[in-house]
This record gives sequence, C-alpha cells and structure tokens, in this order.
Amino acid sequence: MLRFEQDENRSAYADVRRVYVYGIVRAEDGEEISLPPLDGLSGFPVRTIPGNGMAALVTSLETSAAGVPFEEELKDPGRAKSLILDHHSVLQRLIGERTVLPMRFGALFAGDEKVSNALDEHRHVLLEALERVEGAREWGVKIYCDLSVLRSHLGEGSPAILAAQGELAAAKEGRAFFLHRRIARLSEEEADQAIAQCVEASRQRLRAEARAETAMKLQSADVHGRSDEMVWNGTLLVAKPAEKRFFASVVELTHIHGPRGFRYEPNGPWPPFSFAACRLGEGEDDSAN
Amino acid sequence: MTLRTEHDELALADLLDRALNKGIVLWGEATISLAGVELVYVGLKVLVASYATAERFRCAAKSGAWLIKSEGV
Repeated sequence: MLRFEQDENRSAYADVRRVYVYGIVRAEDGEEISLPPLDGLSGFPVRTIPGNGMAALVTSLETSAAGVPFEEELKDPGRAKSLILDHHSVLQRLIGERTVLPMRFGALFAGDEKVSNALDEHRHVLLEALERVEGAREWGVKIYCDLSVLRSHLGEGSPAILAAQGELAAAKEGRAFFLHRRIARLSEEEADQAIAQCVEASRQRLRAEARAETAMKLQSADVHGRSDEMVWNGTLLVAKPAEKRFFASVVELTHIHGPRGFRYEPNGPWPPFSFAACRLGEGEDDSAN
Repeated sequence: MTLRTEHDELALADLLDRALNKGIVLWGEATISLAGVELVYVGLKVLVASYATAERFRCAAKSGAWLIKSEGV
C-alpha cells in the first residue's frame, strides 16, 4: 500500500501550478475550441492552451482530490492504471470530432507558459505530425492462428514430406527415427512458411486501405488469453472515409485465410498513438518502430 | 458475416503498449523526470505480464466511465 506523508510532500509541489497535457490539436489563432464536456485526470476539467496554430488539451493538476501529488499516485499501480485510462478517455472522446496528436502518458508541465513554450519550440515538427494524422484514426488488427487447423489443412504436405513418408514405410528402426524427426521438422517449417505468407499478404492488403502501418510486439497467450497463437499484431492509420473499405478488407481476408485457421481481430479506433512518431526534447526518436 | 470491432472495449495490454510506448514525448519541458516515469512504466508492465491477464475494459455508454471486465483465463 502506498504510504504518503501528506504535509511533507505537499509542500514540495505546492508552489507550482502544474499542467497535465493529453494531446495537441490544430487551431487557428484566436479560434475558440469547443470541447464536449470532458472529465480529465481524476475528474478534473479539460481546457485548452492556445499555441502557434495549435492548442494543447490540458488539465490543471496540483494534487489529486485526496491531496496526493501525481508522482505519488503513479507509485500505486491501481491508481496509475486508472490515470492512464483517464488520459485515454479524453483523447478517445475527441477523435470522433477532430484530429488529435496524442501525448505519451505522463506529460506534466510546470505551468501554462511551459506548455506554450514547448508548442512554440517544436511548432514545425508538431504541425508536420498533425498533418500526417489529419482526419485519420488508428486501428489495430491482430491475426491469430489455430495451428491444428492449419496443419490439417496443409494435409499430407510437400513432396519432400511425402517422399520421407514413403521411405518410412520400408525403413529400419534407426532410419525410421531419423525420418520421423525429418517429417516433424519439415511440417513445422511448412506451417511457419504458411503463416509468414498469410501475414505478409494480409499486411499488404490492409496497408492498401491505410495511410501507414506498423507492427506492435506480439503478445503471449498470458496476455491475450486465447488458445490460438498470435502471429501478427499490427496497427494501421486509416483515414475516416476509408474505414468502410478497411473493414471490408478484414472481412475479405477472413474469407480467404479463415479456412486455414487464421482469425482476424480488429481493435480500435485508437487516437493515433503509434503514428505520432516524435520524441522531442532529447534528440532521439524511438517511436518509429 | 458481421465483424466485431470491439468499438467500446479495450484490452489493457493494447492500451499500455500505446499510451506508455507511443505518442508524443516532450520530456525536455516536462516536470517529471524521465527516470521517475520509466519506473512507473516498468511496474505497470510487470503488472500486465503477471496477473492482469487479458484484462479488458468496457466503456459504459452513458457515463463514459471505464469498467473492468474480467475474462476467464
């Protein structure tokens, strides 16, 4: 459990009017941005800070309603999880109406002025990123494979496997052992190849309806909780008018590859987290993977 | 066939992969030290990898609140 010495910690944060940033939108100078009623972190209201052709969506955040500073709250995984959901919810509510460049969770600034400065300093790169995601949302697609279905679909297998099986019938013990292992290895290679081909074909088909595509790391069964194996965890930036075609392509892929044991699971829409692709302020960009 | 898009449902792991690893970073200006936030991330990733298996959230349509939806593991 989190132990928190309230008075001591409070004094350390009390003199700054801190601002939490969710994301950045494009805004004409002097434009009043109308936001739907939004609950921000811990239910605090969301407002905007105008910048140079942009606006940051922010919440003034000194301490939580319970008097606990943000940094301390993060030490409690349950609270941290709920704050991350709050961060996401704000962005999620907005992506239906306008293009938002999402910040990575945890962007806390020492006042409005620091936020304006950051918008000014990185104006060019931020506007470029906003341009890239303009009018588009992120959609994930996971491909799962039921290996037993795939193997039975591959049937008797390649000529090399058939030849080994033919030889097996007449083989002596030592040779038979070797042939069994050879057949197992060949079948596995064949399945891997079928998976790689399906993933590549699917990737290209989905990419045709999207503005950009990137692969996320595969999740283990512990994380996804399914009995099938995850063979691709992709995410794509799709322009809103193309969403219908994008989904039609998922249906099409299911028709083509479903009988061989492949299953497609779309998720989203997401704020375009994976296509924000900038890490500013320390001269490094690690989000392009 | 109909397509299930999980429009109103999200998996915690999918959210953390995005909200903690992707998105714009302006660390130079932010007040929390990078090291401090990274520590939180490490803690959360352990959480996801261990017992928060396949945890999903459902957005309650009316209130907009996220409810935890447990799924059998």
